[in-house]
Amino acid sequence: MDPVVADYGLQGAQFGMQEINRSGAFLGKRYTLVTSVVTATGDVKAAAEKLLEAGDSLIIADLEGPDLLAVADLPRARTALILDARTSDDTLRQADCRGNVFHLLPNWAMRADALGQYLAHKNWKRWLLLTGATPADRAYAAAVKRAAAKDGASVVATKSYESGDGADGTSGPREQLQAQLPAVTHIPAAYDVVFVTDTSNAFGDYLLFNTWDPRLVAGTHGLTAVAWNSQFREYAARSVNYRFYQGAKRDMSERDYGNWLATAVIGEAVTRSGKLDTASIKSYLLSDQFSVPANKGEGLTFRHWDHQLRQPLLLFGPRMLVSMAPQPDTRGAQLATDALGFDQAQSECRNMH
Amino acid sequence: MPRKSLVTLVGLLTLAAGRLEAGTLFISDERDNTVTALDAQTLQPLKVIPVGRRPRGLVITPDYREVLVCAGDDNRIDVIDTATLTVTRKLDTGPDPETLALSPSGKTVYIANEDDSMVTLLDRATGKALGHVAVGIEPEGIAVNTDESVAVVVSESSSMAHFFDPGSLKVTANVLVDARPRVVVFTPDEKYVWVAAEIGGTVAVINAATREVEKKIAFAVPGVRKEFIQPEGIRFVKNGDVAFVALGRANHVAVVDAKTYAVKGYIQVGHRVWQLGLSPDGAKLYAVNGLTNDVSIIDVASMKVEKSVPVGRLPWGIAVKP
Repeated sequence: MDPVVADYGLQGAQFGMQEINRSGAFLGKRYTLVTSVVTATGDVKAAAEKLLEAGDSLIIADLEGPDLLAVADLPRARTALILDARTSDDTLRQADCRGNVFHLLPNWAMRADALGQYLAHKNWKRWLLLTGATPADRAYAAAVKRAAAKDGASVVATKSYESGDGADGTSGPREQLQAQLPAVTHIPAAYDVVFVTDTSNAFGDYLLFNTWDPRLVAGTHGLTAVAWNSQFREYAARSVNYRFYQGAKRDMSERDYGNWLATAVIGEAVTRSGKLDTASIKSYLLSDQFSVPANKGEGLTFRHWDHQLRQPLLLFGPRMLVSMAPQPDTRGAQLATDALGFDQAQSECRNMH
Repeated sequence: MPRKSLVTLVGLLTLAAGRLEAGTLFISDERDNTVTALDAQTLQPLKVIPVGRRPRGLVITPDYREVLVCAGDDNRIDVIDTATLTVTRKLDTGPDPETLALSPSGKTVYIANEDDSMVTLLDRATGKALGHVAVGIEPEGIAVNTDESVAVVVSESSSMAHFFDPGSLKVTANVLVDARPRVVVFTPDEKYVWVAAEIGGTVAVINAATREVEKKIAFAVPGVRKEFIQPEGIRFVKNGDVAFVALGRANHVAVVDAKTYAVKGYIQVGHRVWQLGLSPDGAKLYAVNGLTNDVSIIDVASMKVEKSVPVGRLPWGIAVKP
């Protein structure tokens, strides 16, 4: 059984702090993590106010989109540096971008492009888009349509699916899903791949081997595009996963990776720039000098137009790494990683300063 | 390369050519759990030697009688007898030895324990641990100077070169270099320490006396994306005038003037070139290509690849026996 985990993200930040402190000790630097955990119904703004009042202005935010924006828009947060270790929302990189927020994990458009590129490369260009019911599911689905247009693929049909939960006690979800998923994937048009966007994990796991025709599954399930996976071994990722597991006694999730990366960004900026104040660190992050090693085979940098961290994505099957994006034959973008998500020409982010 | 030294080098090679003996190349095959032994003259395999799991770093002893190979996933070093090509001894190393170095006397083995942020010193004869040095995260390459007064280890994740005193086991300097340093070597005159930073894409030249970075050598291979330039193995030709630097995923070896630090050219080799070896007479450079499972044989005088020789899967390091 998968363990029930209540500290996704937090363990990543704590692990990252250990690491930057271990390195920092050799250079006479010490970092302290002040943790504030807010319950699902708690007041995020009040908790953030308290931290900001205490003078803390380097913030790792493990928050969902609306909470992140509420914190970023606090008057005291104007001069803060907020490292978003969790969201994938495209809007936060576009119209709702903020000058004091930097995004570490890939957004939906990056993920959809990473998969779209690969599927196009394989010439599997006819997609059935199957979306779940949450706003995030729909946001990812919009990014898939965008990717199809970009990669010369086509979304031959869009279907939505809301899973039953077997509440009547007679039919469990598996029985329902076994009946319903073939029905929902039975469409007149021919397709190569079911592109599924089920971010809350409501039904996606059941999709493999449950489609009407034998078809591949990609998106949030099947072949996924992620920043991290606990089975990832290349580029010394094995060592990071191992060290994390030693401390946390569980696998390192993508959210943990986002938080770990936030500490690595701070450590790198402080060590290389020699600066401690938030304004200097922020301008260093946007300078040509900054790059953070992140076990992806290249140093990662921020896009100055929307503060998104450029990065290769892992295309993971249920257990193994299938490929990495961008594909080696990527063209167009000046940096290959800018082929994923919003390159400068597509950016709708304004007023970053 | 300056024309003058090229001529000198060719002259030396001609002298040496008359008394060449068949040497042996030992290549660690990370994915196959083997060490491939090749005849250095015919380049034919002599034997594929089974070793412990995930073999990477390997060195040959000063008397050429043994090759020591790190078997990272088995927490030990396998000792290969170079005459019989069999594993004759195993030394416990502590967790996950990735690479090792040998003191010039051959008595002490220095091991980087990757997962434990530590260097372990072992007595080669008895296998007994002599001590440990705590260093940065993911220690990898190690170098020891001739009189064994200074050792240097690089920590990949902390991006540092740690100088330490092998006698007292005290760290004496921590030098920040570019991201993810993997390899460290002393220059032949031991006045400098060169550190290859894989993700930073540079080689830092550290003054061994002041412990200051005096120069960072950068590379630009025509037609290769900047992020693929990932310096790894470093070899100096015998007189120390020229250094070769393997550039990882750039699939090239850089030729560097070791005095002026100017990059003189690039030699195309196999995919993800990792470590480099040099023949004892300095005539041949061996480039170990991780993703094409082969070794490129480069003629040093002409800087041309003469041949690619297949070895095991994911070849990592090389040791050369005269």
